[in-house]
Amino acid sequence: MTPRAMRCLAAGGLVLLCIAAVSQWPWQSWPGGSGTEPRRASILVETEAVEVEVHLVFAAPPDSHPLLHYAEHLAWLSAVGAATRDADRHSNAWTSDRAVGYWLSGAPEDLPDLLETLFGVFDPIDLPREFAGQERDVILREYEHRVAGNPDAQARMAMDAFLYEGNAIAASVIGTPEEIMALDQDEARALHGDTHRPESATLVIIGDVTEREVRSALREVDWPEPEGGHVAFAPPSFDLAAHTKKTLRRSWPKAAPRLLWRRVVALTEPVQFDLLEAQTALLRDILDTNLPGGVAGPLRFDAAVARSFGIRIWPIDEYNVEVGFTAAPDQGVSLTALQTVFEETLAENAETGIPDATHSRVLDRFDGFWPDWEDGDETARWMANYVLDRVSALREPLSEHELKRLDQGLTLEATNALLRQIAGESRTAAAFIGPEDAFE
Amino acid sequence: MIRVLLLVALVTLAACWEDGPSASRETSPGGIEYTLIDLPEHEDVTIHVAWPTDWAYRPGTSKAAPVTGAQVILAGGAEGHPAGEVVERFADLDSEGNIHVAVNDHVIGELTFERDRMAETVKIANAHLRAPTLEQAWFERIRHGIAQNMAEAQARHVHAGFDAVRWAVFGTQPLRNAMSLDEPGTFEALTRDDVAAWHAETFTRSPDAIVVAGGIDAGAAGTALDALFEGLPDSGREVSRESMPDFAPRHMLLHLPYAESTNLAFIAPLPPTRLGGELEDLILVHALGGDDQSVLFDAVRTELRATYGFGAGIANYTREHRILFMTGEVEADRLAEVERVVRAAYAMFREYGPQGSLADRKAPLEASFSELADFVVDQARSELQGALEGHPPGRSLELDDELAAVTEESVMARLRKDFPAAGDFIVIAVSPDADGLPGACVIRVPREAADCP
Repeated sequence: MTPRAMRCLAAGGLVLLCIAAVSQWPWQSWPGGSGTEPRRASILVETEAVEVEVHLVFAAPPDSHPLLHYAEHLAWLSAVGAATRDADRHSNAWTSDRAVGYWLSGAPEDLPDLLETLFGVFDPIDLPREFAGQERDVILREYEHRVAGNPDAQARMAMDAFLYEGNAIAASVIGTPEEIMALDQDEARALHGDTHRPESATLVIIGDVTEREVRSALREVDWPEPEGGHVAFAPPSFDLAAHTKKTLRRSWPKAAPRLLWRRVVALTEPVQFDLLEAQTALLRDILDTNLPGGVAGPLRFDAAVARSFGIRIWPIDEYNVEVGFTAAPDQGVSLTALQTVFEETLAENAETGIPDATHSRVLDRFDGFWPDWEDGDETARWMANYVLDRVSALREPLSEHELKRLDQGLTLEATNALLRQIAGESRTAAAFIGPEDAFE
Repeated sequence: MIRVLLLVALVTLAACWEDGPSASRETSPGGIEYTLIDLPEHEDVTIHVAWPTDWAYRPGTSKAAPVTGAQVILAGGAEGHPAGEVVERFADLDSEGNIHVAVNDHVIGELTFERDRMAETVKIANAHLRAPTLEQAWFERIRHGIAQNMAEAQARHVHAGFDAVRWAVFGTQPLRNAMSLDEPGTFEALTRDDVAAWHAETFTRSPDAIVVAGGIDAGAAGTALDALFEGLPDSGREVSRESMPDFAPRHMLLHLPYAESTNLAFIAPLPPTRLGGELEDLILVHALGGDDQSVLFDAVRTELRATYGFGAGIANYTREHRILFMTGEVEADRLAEVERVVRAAYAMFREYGPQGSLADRKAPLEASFSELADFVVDQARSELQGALEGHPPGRSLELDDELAAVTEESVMARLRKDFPAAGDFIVIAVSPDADGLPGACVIRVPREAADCP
């Protein structure tokens, strides 16, 4: 979808200013790519946003969940959350399957103060023991808010454990109620001390500030620059466990029947991550259609199998791809039958191949995947999200120049090769949710 | 040389100003009146229409018809446009269309497209408004799906709590079931004829408000509107929106023995936005329960440690009947304590108002308003709401001026005069513990709330 957002570009001078503002600022220049090579420790993305955002991202050590989530709560409270802030400052923290992050936003002229406040994340956790212990109960409330009574969240956690078996990302970030109540604040403080170190952090600054202003602010607060201006971390490695299938049956008598279906496949050849992300997104768009090669015809328009469905395909890394399919069956169609029709359709389409006409037609719609590179403001906003997404996934963002060339890899051959692999050997999990009589 | 550069800069600035956003009241060649928001830098155009309705207020109407009908119109195809083909053609055009019911008083239609794809987009949209297929198969499919989704939602304890409040406020008035869709047989009794009747009386050439926004002049906009409304009936029924909500304070606990968590909510009325004070409301509600620095978050999470998050917001039952709500999931054993703390925190807030600088509290709104013209859809939505409140054309372009006029005094006046007193809330807890809220009217199903004193 093309963003319905474009800024005043009527005056030529403004065009130049906008384009000039779209630049990442590396302390050290590194070629795009992933793997284990060092990452830039600091990245600036200049935008015209009224607020400036400061983000800090750290890698999650293996086997650190759900303790890392507890440590994140405590570190944020200690550094930012427990103190009163001005009303124009916003902040939060997050933990994912592979990283932990903190952010603080405010007026651009307050950048030194924002950095100084966020710097507190490096300091030892300074909270009263009773208060830190109570935060465990708060996380239990968070579990109740996000997971308890939520069949989809519970199914996703079980599917993660099966699909990613043997890998670091298989563990639940929040854990079970029993695991939460067993969290130990001393262990959390120790984990924080081991992981939240300046030499392990990536700093991302997004907003209407210049490289010069950022350098000045960093000097003002004595921000520690890691040796060589880079940090050494990589996304967690992933090795797909044995090819097999599993079906989870979750009886929720009041739930609208639905199928959650996920599959992980190992590619025969690695593909650069950003290109693979674009290729999987294009294939998703094709499968979503009612065109030859899509699944909407057999499922929704030519037959009444699924009254609604959604597809996602995304790379786990350069070697592995995941497919997610969720669907609500039409009246009288069991979840087993729905799964069968979907899998058969996928296999048939892979065997037949995506027709050139379908590929070309969907590719024509695909320009919304990237920004309008001629629109400086839109590009800057897009790059801000992109850079933050990549850093949060412990990956090095590509430059704008490199991103612009990716569309050359969206060929019919690459799309069909990807589809054939997705329909081939895999590790597949299906979850049936709803009243039991909807399952078979 | 410097003078020359300065002159060039001034000329450039003037040119930009001349071509900046503007608003005007226009009439199409076919007699359709509308507001044009000219955003010359955009290639996109969006058309927003608000059709009046009183379907929700009337006894004898099938209350599930609007939500079902809107989806059948959008998904089921139209004269000359089979469902499976038009979905792909619209995607080729990069056009978007949507129909939804807004707070029971209007049906809103939104159509967004690139300027050079206007003719075909509008032609397809007109066919869907004028002659939707409303095929029985699509009707059944969508009716069944919404019924299943609603049944699941009603089984969720937070949803059930708000259903109970609507029983307390509206009792057996038709408007209640239009919002909750929980009367037995609401979906089972719905027929395709009900949807056809709703469609026939709703989509006319006489909406309450129309906004066209984007890179388009009055000539092209008028042509587009005439094509969009071609063949629709001239006018619909005279609407009559009567309801008698009872917001008397009540203290209720919905006992759900198998609930896996406990929720607490406070609900009380606010004046309609047509009377003003909307920006003060936004500032106040954010300070009350908008983020981790808010009054409620501080009281219930940071101090009491009894929740993951406790916040506040504003919702509309209808345009006339807005509500302020404060809600969150709380520790089951501390429900009564949380209720006391929330009430006390709110009372203090109402007495002393938001702390800190008003300028800082305005900053997020200023940022949002300053970027509004970047987004044609958001600009049009804001303008349409202004038009429905009786504002002159261009209100959405002047929100920054409205915000500048907000003062410490106007904020405090709004808080003390128009926000409910701490004792004026309807309180609803949903808990597995029937004794969790001493003195509460304990109910087992939402319907029983109608009888709570």
